[in-house]
Amino acid sequence: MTHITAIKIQDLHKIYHKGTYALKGFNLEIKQGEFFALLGPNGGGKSTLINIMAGPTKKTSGTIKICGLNIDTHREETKSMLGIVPQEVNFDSFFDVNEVLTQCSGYYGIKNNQKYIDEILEKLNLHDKKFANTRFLSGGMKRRLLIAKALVHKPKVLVLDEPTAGVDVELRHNLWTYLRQLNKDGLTILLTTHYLEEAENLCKRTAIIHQGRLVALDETKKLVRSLGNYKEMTLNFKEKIGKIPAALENFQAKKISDYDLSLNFEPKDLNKVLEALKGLNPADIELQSQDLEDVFLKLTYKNNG
Amino acid sequence: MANPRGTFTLFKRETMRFLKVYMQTIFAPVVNNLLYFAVFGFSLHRAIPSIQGITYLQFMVPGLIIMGLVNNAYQNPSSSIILMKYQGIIGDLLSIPLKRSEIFLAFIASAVIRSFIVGGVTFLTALFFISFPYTSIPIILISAFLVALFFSFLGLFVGIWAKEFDNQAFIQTFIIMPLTFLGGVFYPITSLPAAMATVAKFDPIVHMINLLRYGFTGLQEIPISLSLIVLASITIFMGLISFIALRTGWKLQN
Repeated sequence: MTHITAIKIQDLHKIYHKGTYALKGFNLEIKQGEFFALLGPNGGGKSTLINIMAGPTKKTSGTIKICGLNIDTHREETKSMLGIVPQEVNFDSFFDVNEVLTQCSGYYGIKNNQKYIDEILEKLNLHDKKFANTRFLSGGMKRRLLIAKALVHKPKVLVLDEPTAGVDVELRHNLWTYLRQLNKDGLTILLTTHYLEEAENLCKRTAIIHQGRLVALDETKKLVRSLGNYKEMTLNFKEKIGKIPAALENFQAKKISDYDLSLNFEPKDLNKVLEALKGLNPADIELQSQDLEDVFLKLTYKNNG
Repeated sequence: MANPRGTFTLFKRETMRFLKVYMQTIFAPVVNNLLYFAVFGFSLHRAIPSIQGITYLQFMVPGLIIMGLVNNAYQNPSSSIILMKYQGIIGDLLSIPLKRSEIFLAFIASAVIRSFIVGGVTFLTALFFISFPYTSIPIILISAFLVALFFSFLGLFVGIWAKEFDNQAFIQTFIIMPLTFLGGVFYPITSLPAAMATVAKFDPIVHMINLLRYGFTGLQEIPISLSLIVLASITIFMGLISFIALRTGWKLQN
Protein backbone atom coordinates (compact mmCIF):
# COMPACT_ATOMS: atom_id res chain seq x y z
CA MET A 1 0.00 0.00 0.00
CA THR A 2 1.43 3.36 -0.98
CA HIS A 3 1.11 6.16 1.54
CA ILE A 4 -0.09 9.50 0.24
CA THR A 5 1.55 12.48 1.93
CA ALA A 6 -0.92 14.68 3.79
CA ILE A 7 1.60 17.40 4.63
CA LYS A 8 4.99 17.84 3.04
CA ILE A 9 7.20 20.69 4.16
CA GLN A 10 10.54 21.29 2.48
CA ASP A 11 13.28 23.70 3.49
CA LEU A 12 10.85 26.17 5.05
CA HIS A 13 12.28 29.47 6.21
CA LYS A 14 10.54 32.35 7.92
CA ILE A 15 12.19 35.60 8.89
CA TYR A 16 9.84 38.21 10.38
CA HIS A 17 10.13 41.89 9.45
CA LYS A 18 11.92 42.66 12.70
CA GLY A 19 14.56 40.05 11.91
CA THR A 20 13.32 37.19 14.10
CA TYR A 21 14.33 33.94 12.42
CA ALA A 22 11.34 31.72 13.28
CA LEU A 23 11.88 28.77 10.91
CA LYS A 24 15.30 27.71 9.68
CA GLY A 25 15.06 25.18 6.89
CA PHE A 26 12.28 23.12 8.46
CA ASN A 27 11.40 19.79 6.82
CA LEU A 28 8.56 17.42 7.68
CA GLU A 29 6.41 14.78 6.05
CA ILE A 30 3.16 13.50 7.53
CA LYS A 31 1.30 10.61 5.90
CA GLN A 32 -2.44 10.54 5.33
CA GLY A 33 -4.29 9.03 8.26
CA GLU A 34 -1.49 9.73 10.74
CA PHE A 35 -2.01 11.22 14.19
CA PHE A 36 1.18 13.23 14.43
CA ALA A 37 2.54 15.34 17.27
CA LEU A 38 4.74 18.38 16.85
CA LEU A 39 6.29 19.32 20.15
CA GLY A 40 8.22 22.39 21.01
CA PRO A 41 8.64 25.09 23.62
CA ASN A 42 7.06 28.54 23.36
CA GLY A 43 8.64 30.46 20.51
CA GLY A 44 9.95 27.27 18.94
CA GLY A 45 8.20 27.94 15.62
CA LYS A 46 5.08 25.75 15.91
CA SER A 47 2.51 28.52 15.55
CA THR A 48 4.49 30.20 12.76
CA LEU A 49 4.42 26.92 10.85
CA ILE A 50 0.67 26.53 11.33
CA ASN A 51 -0.02 30.14 10.39
CA ILE A 52 1.96 29.71 7.16
CA MET A 53 -0.10 26.63 6.29
CA ALA A 54 -3.35 28.41 7.18
CA GLY A 55 -2.72 31.78 5.53
CA PRO A 56 -2.15 34.58 8.08
CA THR A 57 1.65 34.36 7.81
CA LYS A 58 3.77 34.53 4.66
CA LYS A 59 6.74 32.23 4.36
CA THR A 60 10.14 33.59 3.38
CA SER A 61 11.07 30.55 1.29
CA GLY A 62 10.51 26.81 0.95
CA THR A 63 7.52 24.74 -0.12
CA ILE A 64 4.48 23.27 1.59
CA LYS A 65 2.21 20.72 -0.04
CA ILE A 66 -1.14 19.66 1.37
CA CYS A 67 -2.35 16.32 -0.06
CA GLY A 68 0.01 16.83 -2.98
CA LEU A 69 -1.01 20.40 -3.79
CA ASN A 70 1.41 23.30 -3.40
CA ILE A 71 -0.01 26.09 -1.23
CA ASP A 72 1.56 28.70 -3.51
CA THR A 73 -0.22 27.53 -6.65
CA HIS A 74 -3.40 26.05 -5.10
CA ARG A 75 -4.06 28.44 -2.24
CA GLU A 76 -7.84 28.09 -2.00
CA GLU A 77 -7.87 24.32 -2.60
CA THR A 78 -5.29 23.68 0.11
CA LYS A 79 -7.15 25.97 2.53
CA SER A 80 -10.28 23.87 1.90
CA MET A 81 -8.42 20.69 2.81
CA LEU A 82 -7.22 22.09 6.13
CA GLY A 83 -9.12 22.51 9.36
CA ILE A 84 -7.20 24.78 11.72
CA VAL A 85 -7.78 25.02 15.46
CA PRO A 86 -5.79 28.09 16.53
CA GLN A 87 -4.13 28.50 19.89
CA GLU A 88 -5.92 31.74 20.77
CA VAL A 89 -9.57 31.42 21.69
CA ASN A 90 -11.22 34.26 19.77
CA PHE A 91 -14.66 34.57 18.21
CA ASP A 92 -16.83 36.87 16.21
CA SER A 93 -18.88 38.30 19.06
CA PHE A 94 -21.74 39.43 16.80
CA PHE A 95 -23.03 35.90 16.25
CA ASP A 96 -24.27 32.83 18.10
CA VAL A 97 -22.77 29.33 17.90
CA ASN A 98 -25.04 28.13 15.09
CA GLU A 99 -24.51 31.30 13.05
CA VAL A 100 -20.72 31.00 13.42
CA LEU A 101 -20.78 27.40 12.18
CA THR A 102 -23.23 28.16 9.35
CA GLN A 103 -20.97 30.99 8.19
CA CYS A 104 -17.94 28.71 8.34
CA SER A 105 -19.74 26.18 6.16
CA GLY A 106 -20.66 28.91 3.69
CA TYR A 107 -17.08 30.13 3.40
CA TYR A 108 -16.15 26.63 2.23
CA GLY A 109 -18.96 26.67 -0.32
CA ILE A 110 -21.26 24.34 1.64
CA LYS A 111 -24.99 24.96 1.53
CA ASN A 112 -27.52 23.50 4.00
CA ASN A 113 -25.00 22.06 6.43
CA GLN A 114 -27.34 22.14 9.44
CA LYS A 115 -27.51 18.36 9.86
CA TYR A 116 -23.74 18.01 10.07
CA ILE A 117 -23.46 21.09 12.31
CA ASP A 118 -25.96 19.50 14.72
CA GLU A 119 -23.98 16.28 14.64
CA ILE A 120 -20.73 18.05 15.55
CA LEU A 121 -22.43 20.09 18.27
CA GLU A 122 -23.81 16.87 19.75
CA LYS A 123 -20.43 15.14 19.68
CA LEU A 124 -18.67 18.12 21.22
CA ASN A 125 -21.41 18.50 23.82
CA LEU A 126 -22.34 21.98 22.66
CA HIS A 127 -25.88 21.26 21.43
CA ASP A 128 -27.54 23.12 24.31
CA LYS A 129 -25.46 26.22 23.45
CA LYS A 130 -26.49 26.22 19.79
CA PHE A 131 -28.18 29.61 20.00
CA ALA A 132 -25.92 31.16 22.66
CA ASN A 133 -23.76 34.10 21.68
CA THR A 134 -20.10 33.12 21.64
CA ARG A 135 -19.38 35.78 24.28
CA PHE A 136 -21.36 33.81 26.85
CA LEU A 137 -19.54 30.48 26.48
CA SER A 138 -17.14 29.17 29.11
CA GLY A 139 -13.46 28.74 28.24
CA GLY A 140 -13.87 25.00 27.66
CA MET A 141 -16.91 25.52 25.42
CA LYS A 142 -15.03 28.07 23.37
CA ARG A 143 -12.20 25.58 22.82
CA ARG A 144 -14.71 22.98 21.66
CA LEU A 145 -16.36 25.50 19.36
CA LEU A 146 -12.97 26.20 17.77
CA ILE A 147 -12.72 22.47 17.00
CA ALA A 148 -16.28 22.47 15.62
CA LYS A 149 -15.35 25.42 13.35
CA ALA A 150 -12.35 23.53 12.03
CA LEU A 151 -14.40 20.40 11.30
CA VAL A 152 -17.53 21.90 9.78
CA HIS A 153 -16.28 21.59 6.20
CA LYS A 154 -14.99 18.01 6.65
CA PRO A 155 -11.30 18.78 6.11
CA LYS A 156 -8.77 16.13 5.11
CA VAL A 157 -6.17 17.38 7.57
CA LEU A 158 -6.91 18.75 11.02
CA VAL A 159 -4.25 20.94 12.61
CA LEU A 160 -4.61 21.67 16.31
CA ASP A 161 -2.38 24.29 17.90
CA GLU A 162 -2.17 23.40 21.59
CA PRO A 163 -5.87 22.56 21.89
CA THR A 164 -5.69 21.52 25.51
CA ALA A 165 -3.65 24.39 26.94
CA GLY A 166 -5.46 25.55 30.09
CA VAL A 167 -8.18 22.92 29.71
CA ASP A 168 -9.28 20.86 32.74
CA VAL A 169 -8.47 17.15 32.94
CA GLU A 170 -11.96 15.86 32.18
CA LEU A 171 -12.37 18.01 29.09
CA ARG A 172 -8.86 17.11 27.95
CA HIS A 173 -9.69 13.41 28.11
CA ASN A 174 -13.03 13.96 26.33
CA LEU A 175 -11.23 15.82 23.56
CA TRP A 176 -8.65 13.05 23.28
CA THR A 177 -11.42 10.47 22.87
CA TYR A 178 -13.08 12.55 20.16
CA LEU A 179 -9.82 13.18 18.31
CA ARG A 180 -8.95 9.48 18.41
CA GLN A 181 -12.33 8.71 16.85
CA LEU A 182 -11.83 11.30 14.11
CA ASN A 183 -8.42 9.82 13.35
CA LYS A 184 -9.87 6.32 13.31
CA ASP A 185 -12.41 7.57 10.74
CA GLY A 186 -9.52 8.55 8.47
CA LEU A 187 -8.75 12.16 9.37
CA THR A 188 -5.07 13.11 9.38
CA ILE A 189 -4.28 15.05 12.54
CA LEU A 190 -1.32 17.26 13.31
CA LEU A 191 -1.25 18.20 16.96
CA THR A 192 1.10 20.70 18.49
CA THR A 193 1.50 20.54 22.21
CA HIS A 194 3.66 21.29 25.21
CA TYR A 195 2.75 18.05 26.87
CA LEU A 196 4.70 14.85 26.34
CA GLU A 197 1.81 12.96 27.92
CA GLU A 198 -0.57 14.19 25.22
CA ALA A 199 1.74 13.11 22.44
CA GLU A 200 2.33 9.77 24.14
CA ASN A 201 -1.37 9.11 24.48
CA LEU A 202 -2.46 10.09 21.01
CA CYS A 203 0.30 10.10 18.46
CA LYS A 204 2.26 7.32 16.88
CA ARG A 205 4.95 9.65 15.58
CA THR A 206 6.33 12.83 17.08
CA ALA A 207 8.61 15.56 15.89
CA ILE A 208 10.33 18.14 18.04
CA ILE A 209 10.89 21.66 16.83
CA HIS A 210 13.31 23.93 18.61
CA GLN A 211 14.44 27.38 17.54
CA GLY A 212 12.85 26.85 14.13
CA ARG A 213 14.59 23.56 13.41
CA LEU A 214 13.50 19.97 13.49
CA VAL A 215 15.61 18.49 16.28
CA ALA A 216 13.99 15.07 16.63
CA LEU A 217 11.58 12.86 14.68
CA ASP A 218 10.68 9.35 15.64
CA GLU A 219 7.96 7.06 16.92
CA THR A 220 6.61 8.71 20.05
CA LYS A 221 7.45 5.80 22.36
CA LYS A 222 11.04 5.69 21.19
CA LEU A 223 11.37 9.45 21.50
CA VAL A 224 9.98 9.57 25.02
CA ARG A 225 12.32 6.77 26.02
CA SER A 226 15.29 8.60 24.57
CA LEU A 227 14.33 11.81 26.34
CA GLY A 228 13.96 10.02 29.67
CA ASN A 229 10.48 10.07 31.05
CA TYR A 230 11.26 11.27 34.56
CA LYS A 231 8.73 11.91 37.30
CA GLU A 232 9.21 14.67 39.79
CA MET A 233 8.03 14.25 43.37
CA THR A 234 7.81 17.13 45.81
CA LEU A 235 7.81 16.26 49.52
CA ASN A 236 6.69 18.66 52.21
CA PHE A 237 7.73 18.14 55.86
CA LYS A 238 6.29 19.68 59.02
CA GLU A 239 9.72 20.09 60.51
CA LYS A 240 12.83 21.72 59.07
CA ILE A 241 14.90 19.42 56.91
CA GLY A 242 18.47 19.17 58.05
CA LYS A 243 20.57 16.85 55.90
CA ILE A 244 18.98 15.07 52.91
CA PRO A 245 18.06 11.56 54.15
CA ALA A 246 20.50 8.98 52.83
CA ALA A 247 17.67 6.76 51.58
CA LEU A 248 16.67 9.44 49.05
CA GLU A 249 20.09 10.20 47.66
CA ASN A 250 19.64 7.77 44.76
CA PHE A 251 16.67 9.75 43.48
CA GLN A 252 18.39 13.06 42.75
CA ALA A 253 17.04 14.60 45.96
CA LYS A 254 17.27 18.38 46.16
CA LYS A 255 16.26 20.81 48.88
CA ILE A 256 13.81 23.38 47.51
CA SER A 257 13.29 25.12 50.87
CA ASP A 258 13.75 24.38 54.58
CA TYR A 259 10.59 22.28 54.48
CA ASP A 260 10.47 20.97 50.88
CA LEU A 261 12.44 18.35 48.99
CA SER A 262 12.21 17.30 45.34
CA LEU A 263 13.03 13.90 43.87
CA ASN A 264 13.51 12.84 40.24
CA PHE A 265 13.14 9.23 39.16
CA GLU A 266 11.92 6.97 36.37
CA PRO A 267 8.34 5.62 36.70
CA LYS A 268 9.68 2.05 37.14
CA ASP A 269 11.43 3.16 40.36
CA LEU A 270 8.22 4.39 42.03
CA ASN A 271 8.06 1.41 44.40
CA LYS A 272 11.66 1.95 45.45
CA VAL A 273 10.88 5.62 46.18
CA LEU A 274 7.83 4.71 48.26
CA GLU A 275 9.92 2.18 50.15
CA ALA A 276 12.57 4.84 50.83
CA LEU A 277 9.93 7.24 52.13
CA LYS A 278 8.86 4.84 54.89
CA GLY A 279 9.71 6.33 58.25
CA LEU A 280 10.28 9.83 56.88
CA ASN A 281 6.59 10.79 57.32
CA PRO A 282 6.22 13.65 54.80
CA ALA A 283 3.21 15.91 55.48
CA ASP A 284 2.35 16.18 51.80
CA ILE A 285 3.43 14.55 48.54
CA GLU A 286 2.97 15.89 45.01
CA LEU A 287 3.83 13.87 41.90
CA GLN A 288 4.31 15.46 38.49
CA SER A 289 5.25 14.23 35.06
CA GLN A 290 7.96 16.28 33.45
CA ASP A 291 6.69 18.46 30.66
CA LEU A 292 8.50 19.32 27.53
CA GLU A 293 9.80 22.59 28.92
CA ASP A 294 11.79 20.61 31.52
CA VAL A 295 13.12 18.24 28.90
CA PHE A 296 14.10 21.15 26.73
CA LEU A 297 15.83 22.93 29.52
CA LYS A 298 17.83 19.78 30.17
CA LEU A 299 18.54 19.28 26.48
CA THR A 300 19.57 22.84 25.80
CA TYR A 301 21.71 23.01 28.94
CA LYS A 302 23.34 19.82 27.75
CA ASN A 303 23.85 21.17 24.25
CA ASN A 304 25.07 24.54 25.40
CA GLY A 305 27.22 23.13 28.18
CA MET B 1 -11.43 27.96 -8.07
CA ALA B 2 -14.17 30.57 -7.76
CA ASN B 3 -16.20 30.43 -4.58
CA PRO B 4 -19.46 32.37 -5.11
CA ARG B 5 -21.17 30.83 -2.06
CA GLY B 6 -18.20 31.73 0.13
CA THR B 7 -18.21 35.29 -1.25
CA PHE B 8 -21.94 35.61 -0.63
CA THR B 9 -21.48 34.24 2.92
CA LEU B 10 -18.87 36.88 3.70
CA PHE B 11 -21.09 39.58 2.18
CA LYS B 12 -23.99 38.29 4.32
CA ARG B 13 -21.77 38.25 7.41
CA GLU B 14 -20.70 41.84 6.81
CA THR B 15 -24.31 42.91 6.22
CA MET B 16 -25.72 41.01 9.22
CA ARG B 17 -23.01 42.59 11.35
CA PHE B 18 -24.25 46.12 10.75
CA LEU B 19 -27.92 45.12 10.76
CA LYS B 20 -27.49 43.51 14.21
CA VAL B 21 -26.43 46.89 15.59
CA TYR B 22 -28.91 48.88 13.46
CA MET B 23 -29.36 51.51 16.20
CA GLN B 24 -25.84 52.82 15.71
CA THR B 25 -25.33 51.87 12.07
CA ILE B 26 -28.65 52.90 10.51
CA PHE B 27 -30.82 54.91 12.92
CA ALA B 28 -28.09 57.09 14.41
CA PRO B 29 -26.80 58.46 11.06
CA VAL B 30 -30.35 58.97 9.77
CA VAL B 31 -31.34 60.86 12.94
CA ASN B 32 -28.11 62.85 12.63
CA ASN B 33 -28.99 63.88 9.10
CA LEU B 34 -32.54 64.74 10.09
CA LEU B 35 -31.21 66.98 12.83
CA TYR B 36 -29.14 68.86 10.24
CA PHE B 37 -32.26 69.02 8.13
CA ALA B 38 -34.29 70.45 11.04
CA VAL B 39 -31.68 72.81 12.47
CA PHE B 40 -30.08 74.23 9.33
CA GLY B 41 -32.86 73.57 6.88
CA PHE B 42 -35.83 75.01 8.65
CA SER B 43 -33.97 77.94 10.20
CA LEU B 44 -32.11 78.98 7.02
CA HIS B 45 -35.02 78.02 4.79
CA ARG B 46 -36.77 81.23 5.77
CA ALA B 47 -33.63 83.38 5.73
CA ILE B 48 -32.55 82.10 2.29
CA PRO B 49 -35.72 81.73 0.29
CA SER B 50 -34.12 80.67 -3.02
CA ILE B 51 -30.72 79.62 -4.44
CA GLN B 52 -30.60 79.90 -8.22
CA GLY B 53 -34.25 79.00 -8.47
CA ILE B 54 -34.45 76.17 -5.91
CA THR B 55 -35.43 76.31 -2.23
CA TYR B 56 -32.77 76.02 0.47
CA LEU B 57 -34.17 72.64 1.56
CA GLN B 58 -33.98 71.31 -2.02
CA PHE B 59 -30.42 72.66 -2.13
CA MET B 60 -29.38 71.04 1.14
CA VAL B 61 -30.93 67.54 0.94
CA PRO B 62 -28.62 66.15 -1.81
CA GLY B 63 -25.68 67.23 0.38
CA LEU B 64 -27.17 65.42 3.38
CA ILE B 65 -27.66 62.29 1.28
CA ILE B 66 -23.99 62.49 0.27
CA MET B 67 -23.04 62.79 3.95
CA GLY B 68 -25.00 59.61 4.69
CA LEU B 69 -23.38 57.76 1.78
CA VAL B 70 -19.88 59.00 2.64
CA ASN B 71 -19.84 58.22 6.36
CA ASN B 72 -21.48 54.82 6.16
CA ALA B 73 -19.59 53.54 3.16
CA TYR B 74 -16.38 54.56 4.93
CA GLN B 75 -17.28 53.18 8.34
CA ASN B 76 -18.55 49.73 7.36
CA PRO B 77 -15.38 48.06 6.05
CA SER B 78 -13.01 50.08 8.22
CA SER B 79 -14.84 49.29 11.49
CA SER B 80 -15.30 45.66 10.55
CA ILE B 81 -11.64 45.03 9.77
CA ILE B 82 -10.34 46.97 12.77
CA LEU B 83 -12.79 45.06 14.99
CA MET B 84 -11.51 41.79 13.55
CA LYS B 85 -8.00 42.89 14.51
CA TYR B 86 -9.19 43.75 18.03
CA GLN B 87 -11.09 40.49 18.42
CA GLY B 88 -8.15 38.48 17.10
CA ILE B 89 -10.17 36.94 14.27
CA ILE B 90 -8.40 38.58 11.35
CA GLY B 91 -6.57 35.25 10.93
CA ASP B 92 -9.93 33.61 10.17
CA LEU B 93 -10.47 36.00 7.27
CA LEU B 94 -7.07 35.09 5.85
CA SER B 95 -7.59 31.35 6.35
CA ILE B 96 -10.92 30.89 4.55
CA PRO B 97 -10.74 29.64 0.94
CA LEU B 98 -11.64 32.94 -0.70
CA LYS B 99 -9.56 34.80 -3.23
CA ARG B 100 -8.60 38.32 -2.23
CA SER B 101 -10.80 39.60 -5.05
CA GLU B 102 -13.76 37.74 -3.51
CA ILE B 103 -13.06 39.17 -0.05
CA PHE B 104 -12.78 42.60 -1.66
CA LEU B 105 -16.11 42.18 -3.46
CA ALA B 106 -17.92 41.01 -0.30
CA PHE B 107 -16.68 43.93 1.83
CA ILE B 108 -17.38 46.56 -0.82
CA ALA B 109 -20.86 45.24 -1.65
CA SER B 110 -21.88 45.29 1.99
CA ALA B 111 -20.52 48.81 2.50
CA VAL B 112 -22.40 50.06 -0.58
CA ILE B 113 -25.61 48.46 0.72
CA ARG B 114 -25.25 50.13 4.13
CA SER B 115 -24.54 53.53 2.63
CA PHE B 116 -27.51 53.17 0.29
CA ILE B 117 -29.80 52.26 3.19
CA VAL B 118 -28.78 55.39 5.14
CA GLY B 119 -28.78 57.63 2.05
CA GLY B 120 -32.11 56.15 0.94
CA VAL B 121 -33.82 56.60 4.30
CA THR B 122 -32.54 60.20 4.48
CA PHE B 123 -33.97 60.84 1.01
CA LEU B 124 -37.34 59.19 1.76
CA THR B 125 -37.71 61.13 5.02
CA ALA B 126 -36.96 64.40 3.22
CA LEU B 127 -39.79 63.63 0.79
CA PHE B 128 -42.24 64.26 3.64
CA PHE B 129 -41.23 67.92 3.52
CA ILE B 130 -40.07 68.67 -0.01
CA SER B 131 -40.22 67.45 -3.60
CA PHE B 132 -37.65 67.52 -6.43
CA PRO B 133 -37.85 68.11 -10.18
CA TYR B 134 -35.47 65.08 -10.74
CA THR B 135 -33.51 66.55 -13.64
CA SER B 136 -31.52 63.32 -14.25
CA ILE B 137 -32.23 60.04 -12.48
CA PRO B 138 -29.26 58.32 -14.22
CA ILE B 139 -26.92 60.99 -12.81
CA ILE B 140 -28.46 60.49 -9.34
CA LEU B 141 -27.92 56.73 -9.50
CA ILE B 142 -24.46 56.82 -11.06
CA SER B 143 -23.12 59.52 -8.77
CA ALA B 144 -24.60 57.93 -5.60
CA PHE B 145 -23.09 54.58 -6.61
CA LEU B 146 -19.66 56.08 -7.35
CA VAL B 147 -19.66 58.03 -4.07
CA ALA B 148 -20.55 54.87 -2.12
CA LEU B 149 -17.87 52.93 -4.01
CA PHE B 150 -15.15 55.54 -3.46
CA PHE B 151 -15.70 55.70 0.29
CA SER B 152 -16.09 51.91 0.58
CA PHE B 153 -12.68 51.58 -1.06
CA LEU B 154 -11.26 54.21 1.27
CA GLY B 155 -12.84 52.48 4.29
CA LEU B 156 -11.38 49.14 3.26
CA PHE B 157 -7.95 50.69 2.80
CA VAL B 158 -8.10 52.44 6.19
CA GLY B 159 -9.30 49.20 7.84
CA ILE B 160 -6.27 47.37 6.43
CA TRP B 161 -3.87 50.15 7.37
CA ALA B 162 -5.22 51.05 10.82
CA LYS B 163 -3.86 49.54 14.00
CA GLU B 164 -6.65 50.92 16.14
CA PHE B 165 -9.93 52.81 16.02
CA ASP B 166 -8.04 56.06 16.63
CA ASN B 167 -6.56 55.81 13.13
CA GLN B 168 -10.01 55.40 11.62
CA ALA B 169 -11.36 58.34 13.65
CA PHE B 170 -8.38 60.48 12.63
CA ILE B 171 -9.21 60.11 8.91
CA GLN B 172 -12.90 60.71 9.59
CA THR B 173 -12.43 63.78 11.80
CA PHE B 174 -9.52 65.50 10.13
CA ILE B 175 -10.05 64.64 6.48
CA ILE B 176 -13.55 63.43 5.63
CA MET B 177 -15.55 65.73 7.90
CA PRO B 178 -13.77 69.00 6.90
CA LEU B 179 -13.96 68.06 3.21
CA THR B 180 -17.68 67.32 3.61
CA PHE B 181 -18.55 70.49 5.51
CA LEU B 182 -16.42 72.59 3.18
CA GLY B 183 -17.78 70.67 0.21
CA GLY B 184 -20.90 72.77 -0.15
CA VAL B 185 -23.51 70.76 1.75
CA PHE B 186 -24.93 73.87 3.37
CA TYR B 187 -23.87 76.68 1.02
CA PRO B 188 -23.20 77.20 -2.69
CA ILE B 189 -19.54 77.16 -3.74
CA THR B 190 -20.23 80.17 -5.96
CA SER B 191 -21.00 82.21 -2.83
CA LEU B 192 -17.37 81.84 -1.71
CA PRO B 193 -14.69 84.44 -2.60
CA ALA B 194 -13.26 83.62 -6.06
CA ALA B 195 -9.95 82.24 -4.72
CA MET B 196 -11.68 79.94 -2.24
CA ALA B 197 -14.17 78.78 -4.85
CA THR B 198 -11.23 77.75 -7.05
CA VAL B 199 -9.60 75.85 -4.16
CA ALA B 200 -12.94 74.19 -3.38
CA LYS B 201 -12.87 72.55 -6.82
CA PHE B 202 -10.02 70.38 -5.55
CA ASP B 203 -12.28 69.00 -2.84
CA PRO B 204 -13.66 65.75 -4.30
CA ILE B 205 -16.81 66.03 -2.19
CA VAL B 206 -17.69 69.29 -3.97
CA HIS B 207 -17.94 67.28 -7.21
CA MET B 208 -19.96 64.52 -5.54
CA ILE B 209 -22.52 66.98 -4.15
CA ASN B 210 -22.55 68.92 -7.41
CA LEU B 211 -23.51 65.76 -9.32
CA LEU B 212 -26.22 64.61 -6.96
CA ARG B 213 -27.65 68.10 -6.61
CA TYR B 214 -27.78 68.39 -10.39
CA GLY B 215 -29.59 65.07 -10.67
CA PHE B 216 -32.19 66.10 -8.13
CA THR B 217 -32.64 69.80 -8.93
CA GLY B 218 -30.85 70.72 -12.16
CA LEU B 219 -28.51 73.11 -10.30
CA GLN B 220 -24.85 72.81 -11.30
CA GLU B 221 -22.03 74.94 -9.92
CA ILE B 222 -19.32 73.05 -11.83
CA PRO B 223 -19.87 71.44 -15.27
CA ILE B 224 -21.40 67.99 -14.74
CA SER B 225 -19.00 66.33 -17.17
CA LEU B 226 -15.99 67.59 -15.19
CA SER B 227 -17.45 66.39 -11.87
CA LEU B 228 -18.24 63.00 -13.39
CA ILE B 229 -14.71 62.60 -14.78
CA VAL B 230 -13.19 63.63 -11.42
CA LEU B 231 -15.43 61.24 -9.45
CA ALA B 232 -14.93 58.29 -11.79
CA SER B 233 -11.14 58.82 -11.86
CA ILE B 234 -10.65 59.04 -8.10
CA THR B 235 -12.96 56.05 -7.57
CA ILE B 236 -10.93 53.88 -9.95
CA PHE B 237 -7.70 55.09 -8.32
CA MET B 238 -8.95 54.39 -4.78
CA GLY B 239 -10.29 51.00 -5.87
CA LEU B 240 -6.88 50.02 -7.24
CA ILE B 241 -5.04 51.20 -4.13
CA SER B 242 -7.31 49.33 -1.72
CA PHE B 243 -7.36 46.16 -3.84
CA ILE B 244 -3.57 46.13 -4.09
CA ALA B 245 -3.32 46.62 -0.30
CA LEU B 246 -5.63 43.65 0.29
CA ARG B 247 -4.09 41.51 -2.42
CA THR B 248 -0.55 41.91 -1.15
CA GLY B 249 -1.54 41.28 2.47
CA TRP B 250 -0.07 44.66 3.46
CA LYS B 251 -0.49 45.18 7.24
CA LEU B 252 -2.59 42.00 7.45
CA GLN B 253 -0.16 39.15 6.92
CA ASN B 254 3.08 39.04 8.86
